[in-house]
Amino acid sequence: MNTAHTLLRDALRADIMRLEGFRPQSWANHADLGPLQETFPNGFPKGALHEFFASQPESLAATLGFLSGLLAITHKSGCILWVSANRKVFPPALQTFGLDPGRIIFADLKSERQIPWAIEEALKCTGITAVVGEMKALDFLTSRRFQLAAERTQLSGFFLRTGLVNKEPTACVTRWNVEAMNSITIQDESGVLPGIGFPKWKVELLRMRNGSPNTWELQWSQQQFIDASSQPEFIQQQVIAS
Amino acid sequence: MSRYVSIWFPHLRTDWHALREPHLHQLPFVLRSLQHNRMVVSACNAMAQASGILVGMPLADARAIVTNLQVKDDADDLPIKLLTRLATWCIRFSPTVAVDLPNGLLIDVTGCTHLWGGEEKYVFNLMHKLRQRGYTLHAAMADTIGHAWGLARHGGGIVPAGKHLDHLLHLPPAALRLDPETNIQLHKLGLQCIGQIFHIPRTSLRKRFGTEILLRLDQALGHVIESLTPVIVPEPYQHRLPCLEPVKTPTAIAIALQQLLEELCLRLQKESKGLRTCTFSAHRIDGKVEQLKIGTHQATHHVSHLFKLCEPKLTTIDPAWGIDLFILEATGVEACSPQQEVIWDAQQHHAALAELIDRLTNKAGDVIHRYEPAQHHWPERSIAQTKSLHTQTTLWPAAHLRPVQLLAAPDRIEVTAPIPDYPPMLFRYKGQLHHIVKADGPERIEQEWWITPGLHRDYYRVEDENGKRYWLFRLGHYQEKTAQWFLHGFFA
Repeated sequence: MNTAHTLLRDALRADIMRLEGFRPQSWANHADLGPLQETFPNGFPKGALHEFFASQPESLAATLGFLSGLLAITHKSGCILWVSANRKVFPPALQTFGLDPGRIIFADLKSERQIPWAIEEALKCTGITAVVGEMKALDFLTSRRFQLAAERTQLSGFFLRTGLVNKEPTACVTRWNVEAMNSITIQDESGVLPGIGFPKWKVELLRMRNGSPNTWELQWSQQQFIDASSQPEFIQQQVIAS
Repeated sequence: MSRYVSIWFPHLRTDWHALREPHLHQLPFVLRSLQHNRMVVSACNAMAQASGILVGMPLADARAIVTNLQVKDDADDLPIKLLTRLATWCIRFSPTVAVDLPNGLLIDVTGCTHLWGGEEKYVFNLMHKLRQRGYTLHAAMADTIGHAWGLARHGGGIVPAGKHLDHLLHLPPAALRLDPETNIQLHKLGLQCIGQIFHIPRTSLRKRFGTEILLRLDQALGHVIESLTPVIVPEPYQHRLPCLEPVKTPTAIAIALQQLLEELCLRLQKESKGLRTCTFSAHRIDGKVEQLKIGTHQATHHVSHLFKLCEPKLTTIDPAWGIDLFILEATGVEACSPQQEVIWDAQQHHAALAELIDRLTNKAGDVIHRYEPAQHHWPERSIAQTKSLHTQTTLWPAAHLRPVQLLAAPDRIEVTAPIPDYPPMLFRYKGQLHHIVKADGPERIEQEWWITPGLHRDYYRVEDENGKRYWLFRLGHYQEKTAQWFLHGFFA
């Protein structure tokens, strides 16, 4: 394919995105996403909403790990408001994923009904960089309101949809599902070494506006995402040494 | 030069009863109370007084004088209740109003009268409004509290500033707030006015009547400073907005609030101070006071932000028949530097964040938390709430891995753990069986006996065959059958 074709194709893509309401500057977060970079060639979207499904406490734990890693990479400074009515996250664990717990302000509301209001207020505030909301229900109208507020302030919204939720369409740009996988442990001549390896997840991008869904097997080590799909569950010691 | 108004309600208690039962106005009416095992008259209205009934007279005698006498039981705490209510109502005339038991009010009107167009109009207005409420009263204005008190009970009127000495000398000695025995004594000695007492040497007076008479005389003359105990202590940061006509629309209340906030914030800004808590009160024409309170997370003098905090609560103010006075008081004021501090590293949006937090706490209550590490290993106690949102937290300990989800209370699980001090081989949690394939541990965390007694915990990080990672612990030492195991968290 020659250069003219590539240029034309890129221009057309940009046109389509503009027609769909995406402003070019909203794709400005140039952080190193590792294996995810391929799916987000223009950087992780800013001023957009992302939702994560987690029905079981185990998958919520995996989602929290992935989300903290993502927040640490894409939002390196500023504070994050964490809105929930029944908070499960234990702050000291977040630093394992590079996120300083002191940067997070928790708003522990008394009822689920106040959450949409609190999230919308937070998305209108310029003093923070991201909003995380734990919620069960999120309909299209509410998510559209959030999207409009986020576009104005260029804040990111991350929604943890806990419990059994109906997966009706929302205005979120991406939709994720994260499940835990067996971690990779080292094997030497004497057998398998005891202990648990780095956290490893199966990350599914179920839906993405202007992009294609994808699935990864990611491992969190050395403060970044590493593609672990090619590695077996038990790796030989010499592989590590090389 | 100070100016004081004293108000005397000669029939305070009977007037109050008559307000509730208007037919009592037309009849001789007394209140009775039990004194030394007999019923005596403790208060009487003007009609009863005219027919010769006196306070302190036995009730039987009073009934003998007036046949159709109306009698009601007296209550001891009635005067203080009534006077406090009246004093609170009088706040609209002056910020310093004091209760003067048993039947009067004292008002410090220094610098207030010109707002009503002069002293005559001020006193006329005050008396007129109180009479409209249904009370008989006498009022007097003078330079000292003592003089105003005496004048209100012996003639009333206004003594021009600086002229009180001449006037005072013509009043009877009873105008000096003396106890009844001294009054009777003075009367018996033929001392008919204060002028006569004034010319007696002070040493003779002290020998004969004690020091009280000298003190009262000095107070009335203004030689001894006397202070009032106001019913509501005026706040140093208080702004008032009286209305010409009572208002009752929500828009009018909002405008009043906006105007008061602007005044207050301008003043705070000049003094480089900020507001932490404030009270907005609306005095209704029926005497009730409607209030709303707000608090801010950080000292601020930002009008539109404060207005936004009050706005949702404005609907709680019920104007009823109208509001004729708005008062905005800054109850908590702190120094507020115009130069904003930096929050954490390069954050410059401190004020916007503080305003967001104010909005959340005002609507939802105390919901904002931020944590810092605490000096405890016990997981439940290892974090503490920070007092401030601006300080950098201390470094978080990274030596031990902690689960991203920690259960508030550990959940009991059934395990198969055949080898001592090894993690279990399998466990059952909420009816589901998990085979453990990988594990780390144990990490022993001792119970802090100086806080609570109890057994230590041996924590294991485990991973089951589906890759799900858990934090389990055994309470106390290993015992094959009786050891208790718990699930305490989920790892990512």
